[in-house]
Amino acid sequence: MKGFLHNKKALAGLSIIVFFGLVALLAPLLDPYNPNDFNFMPWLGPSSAHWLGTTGQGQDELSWLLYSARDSMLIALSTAGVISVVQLLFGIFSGYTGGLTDGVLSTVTNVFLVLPGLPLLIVIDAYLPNKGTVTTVFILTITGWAWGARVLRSQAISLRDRPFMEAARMSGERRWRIVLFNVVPNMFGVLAANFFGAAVYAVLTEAGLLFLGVINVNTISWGSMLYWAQAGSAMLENKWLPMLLPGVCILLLGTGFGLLNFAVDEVADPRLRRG
Amino acid sequence: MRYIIRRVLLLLLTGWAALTINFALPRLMPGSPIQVMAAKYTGRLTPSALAAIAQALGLKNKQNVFVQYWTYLGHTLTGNFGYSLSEYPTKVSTLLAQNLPWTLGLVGFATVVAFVLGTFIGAVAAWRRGSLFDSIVVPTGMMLAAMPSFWISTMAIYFLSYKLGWFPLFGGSSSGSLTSVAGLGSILSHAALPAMVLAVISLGGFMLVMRNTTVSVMSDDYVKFARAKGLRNFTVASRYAARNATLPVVTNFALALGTVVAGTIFVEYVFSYPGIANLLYIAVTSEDYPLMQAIFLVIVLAVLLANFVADMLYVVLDPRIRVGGRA
Amino acid sequence: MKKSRLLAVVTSSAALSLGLAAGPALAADRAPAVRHGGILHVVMPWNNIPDNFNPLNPGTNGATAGGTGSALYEPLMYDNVVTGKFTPMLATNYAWTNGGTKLTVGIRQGVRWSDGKPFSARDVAFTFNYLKKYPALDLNGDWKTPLTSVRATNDSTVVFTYSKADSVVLPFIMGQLIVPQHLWAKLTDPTTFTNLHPVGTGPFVLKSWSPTQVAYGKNPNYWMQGRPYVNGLTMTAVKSNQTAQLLMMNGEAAYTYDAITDPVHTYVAAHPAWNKFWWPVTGLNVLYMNTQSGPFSDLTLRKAIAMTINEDVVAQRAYYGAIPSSSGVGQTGVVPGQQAQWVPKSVASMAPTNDPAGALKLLESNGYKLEGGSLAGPNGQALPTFKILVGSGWTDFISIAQTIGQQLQAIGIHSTIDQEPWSTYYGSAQNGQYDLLVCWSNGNNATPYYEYYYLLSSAESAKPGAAVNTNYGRFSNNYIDGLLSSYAATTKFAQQKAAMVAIEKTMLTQVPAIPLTGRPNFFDYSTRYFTGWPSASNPYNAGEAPDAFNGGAEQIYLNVHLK
Repeated sequence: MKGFLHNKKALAGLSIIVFFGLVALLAPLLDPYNPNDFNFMPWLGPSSAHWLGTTGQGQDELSWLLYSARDSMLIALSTAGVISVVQLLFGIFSGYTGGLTDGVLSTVTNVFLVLPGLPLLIVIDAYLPNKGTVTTVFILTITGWAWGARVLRSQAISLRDRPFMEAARMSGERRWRIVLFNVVPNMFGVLAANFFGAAVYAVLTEAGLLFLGVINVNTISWGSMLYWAQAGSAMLENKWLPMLLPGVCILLLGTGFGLLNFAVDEVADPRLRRG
Repeated sequence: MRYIIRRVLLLLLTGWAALTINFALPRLMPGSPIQVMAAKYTGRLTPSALAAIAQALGLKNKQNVFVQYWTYLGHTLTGNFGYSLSEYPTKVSTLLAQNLPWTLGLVGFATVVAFVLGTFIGAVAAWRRGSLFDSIVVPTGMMLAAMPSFWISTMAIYFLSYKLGWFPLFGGSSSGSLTSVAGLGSILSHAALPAMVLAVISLGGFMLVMRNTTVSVMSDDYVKFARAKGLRNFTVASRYAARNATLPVVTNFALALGTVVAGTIFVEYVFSYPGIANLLYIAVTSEDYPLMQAIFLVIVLAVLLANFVADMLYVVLDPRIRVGGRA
Repeated sequence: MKKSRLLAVVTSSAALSLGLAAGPALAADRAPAVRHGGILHVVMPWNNIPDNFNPLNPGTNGATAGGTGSALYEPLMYDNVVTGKFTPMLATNYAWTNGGTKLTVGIRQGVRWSDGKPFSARDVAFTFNYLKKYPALDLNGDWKTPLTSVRATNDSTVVFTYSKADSVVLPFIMGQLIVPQHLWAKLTDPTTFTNLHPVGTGPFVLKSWSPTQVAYGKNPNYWMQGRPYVNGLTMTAVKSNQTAQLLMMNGEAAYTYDAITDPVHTYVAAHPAWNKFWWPVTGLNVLYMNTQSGPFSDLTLRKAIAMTINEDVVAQRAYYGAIPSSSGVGQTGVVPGQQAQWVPKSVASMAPTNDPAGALKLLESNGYKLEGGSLAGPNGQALPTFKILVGSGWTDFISIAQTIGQQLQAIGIHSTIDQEPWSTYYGSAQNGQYDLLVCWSNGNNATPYYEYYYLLSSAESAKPGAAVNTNYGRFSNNYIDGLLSSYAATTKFAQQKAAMVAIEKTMLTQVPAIPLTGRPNFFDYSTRYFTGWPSASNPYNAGEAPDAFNGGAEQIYLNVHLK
């Protein structure tokens, strides 16, 4: 942990995440208007009343931009959390148990790896009746867990044959205890790296789905801001700020999570460490 | 040998499972292509027209699902994909042949550029670990990897095509004839911007993976040994470290091919590019099952084969596997 | 300022439904000097153009019907929804006899197919009997009506016989595209036939095809003297609306059909001298409620909602003022251009005004209660949060739903917006699986009949749980059904009007659905190189799409010429 906080990338990533976290928490206080208020004239330019102008729907751009941090943080953290749990279960069962279970589970993992994710998301989303946050997290999990599960599996396999595991088994420890106290802690680094990796994936993919208009574009979010900018012909109206800024926010948040992912990798893998 | 047989079996098994999911998915989707059409024409098609179309598309005679599955497997293996529903009565194979070359050209070019540039930058950054160059490369790579492809495409079109007029706005070409010199020039000028965007967004991944694998390889004994033997830095870097680090980069890419498809969908969608990724998006949104299945199949096969080839490369290049039988 | 003037133009154009039925020749011959030549460029977001020129084939992509139905093949007459008049094409006249059970159609003489063979009434009879043999080609459902036979009595006459009077079939008979007997009689599978060497009577012949562009040249055998003025036609398929819009903005294409967002400030502003649009209202956007079961089966609630929604604000939000709202008289469901003819003063004076306070009073006097900002039903239970169903990606419908949702809060009704992919959206609409639905009206026609038929007829509705055809609100009423059949059984205007007036009153008193805004033909054109376009002052065409199934775009191709 100490090494982690001395890592510059970790610090940079952490500050970005903390910054967006604060914006998300304080959005109701920071927002000059309610982002759901449609009562302004559409496509106003920047002014003292509306620092970034208004949307084609007549909402205040700045309010929307700030409030959107909530959606992205929520989706990123909850999806990454769910994905991590799924990956952990899959990785351990598959890698640590071995045998037929492993054969079946890794085939499933492989199938999900080769199926093209984005169209799959659209197909599954069409099938689900409710288009809320839970649905979004669910479909992002379905298409996003396989990659990391593979990494965890090979980690579990390599742990299986380590001497201290052998010792634990010889001493007659229960299997679930071994998993809980010997396997999981040793996977912590990979798990954390995967968590942040999944967060990057969630932020980008959710924004993409919103941009295509596949999931609920009434969500106050950066992706929906881009969707409405495009739908309202922002380009033809020469309003490029509402297209530029949400993208920059997505990019920054993604970079933040990415840097954390990278830093955890570096700290956890001694070969990547400096020196 | 056992390793190769296992790989082949796994390939077949994964392929079959993917085929089956491919069969089931569109049938799980609610609604029908006729309802999509009714919605697309927003009331301009009368109910009797819709009924006639449903009849012509053969959507009214419901077969047993197992019979359908069996026919589907047979047709897939013989490459008979039937008619597209959204562009009836065009054959699916015709549409694939029309659209696939565009995407292959775009993705092929972008990947080669990103691979060459990315591995080079990654290797140099690893070699000069801790230097200013390295400390710029890592966050830059991170930002490129976190770049929303649809956003950078939109921005590129707005500023470079719309405002500055440097590139055509959209599409694959502007001339009707594609074989003439003018046609070729038109194709290239249309492909330039989307290809650059694709290259830029895939560059980050190559850079970072290459950097990290090279760093790992450099701590391996044989590289340390080579350095200790007093070989020149450049020789060690290029012959030993970079070469051995490239292999994981390739396999990583083979695995990530599925996600490359997603990025390509966005780019082709925003640029209105006549490629297969855009066609897939259209097939999915118009519930064109036969077309959707065929494109899924093409992608799945491509990813599977790429992975298989990567596995085989390992066998050829990394002698440890031939003995060890690593899974 | 610009906006309101535009609104006035559009509204008045729709009211101008009195023009004479001029042959297509008349409309432009008045122009002083007509320059021949030039190639007209049409653009549409069709994605691809299938290599298919079968005019009877129900290709699921509009492109098939696009060039084929307007450049290569022709209907008997063109039915102009805006003027309510027929323009004679392959037919010259028609008459109903035998109490409305016999339709005699006179067929034009001197017409030849593009391969030089003569065209006659026998081709017409052949085409209709062909549809009977292959129901999958019968797009208009001609043989689902009481039609019993179609015969050519000589080279210039075709007789349609009906088992009972059905005057409302006329637009569909007249709109049928005619194919040559000498080539089609031999076909074995006309549903998958792609007709790569098309032979028609239309003004153009096929020159070349690629997946993104089809080119047509002049038909040297065309029957109308001196037409078309242009030398040729290209149709370009692009992948998105925005792309089509950009081509139009730069004047690179001259004609498209697209609901441009905020057209005045984007598309027109780019080149105000050339970039024009004419969006004549031909139908409606409607708020449907499930009248069969659930809270909206209560008339009081429906009435209160109709009183609360401010349609003018809805139209402004969704269409930036380019399309008129359905407030006031529009609540009858009769489109603006037909109101003068079909809505008498006595009905117009019954039209409701926007009055949320009055709506609340009405609700409270019927047992509803507003408690803590939420409306409770007569049973004392708070109404649930309603979902307003719209299709994903339709920004105009999403804007409409947002606006309605906000307005309904005034009477304590809360709602969320439910965006579904097109198939789910339409499936839910048909299965009644929605609370509130924003959707179009069907059957846009020269009279209010078909719109009412599709909106209100029991034949288009279904039992709970079963899918309906087009009566999404599931309103079912014997009285209405009787009025609709009495309209169809006569050809006399006075009787037909009486039936329509009775239904108009029902619309206002029973509120089976709430008309929100007009739904126009989104006709966009450029006068950079060509002139002679249909417009409010010269509505020889209703602003049809290039892929309209009734041959409407042909009129445009025949009248447009170089400046």
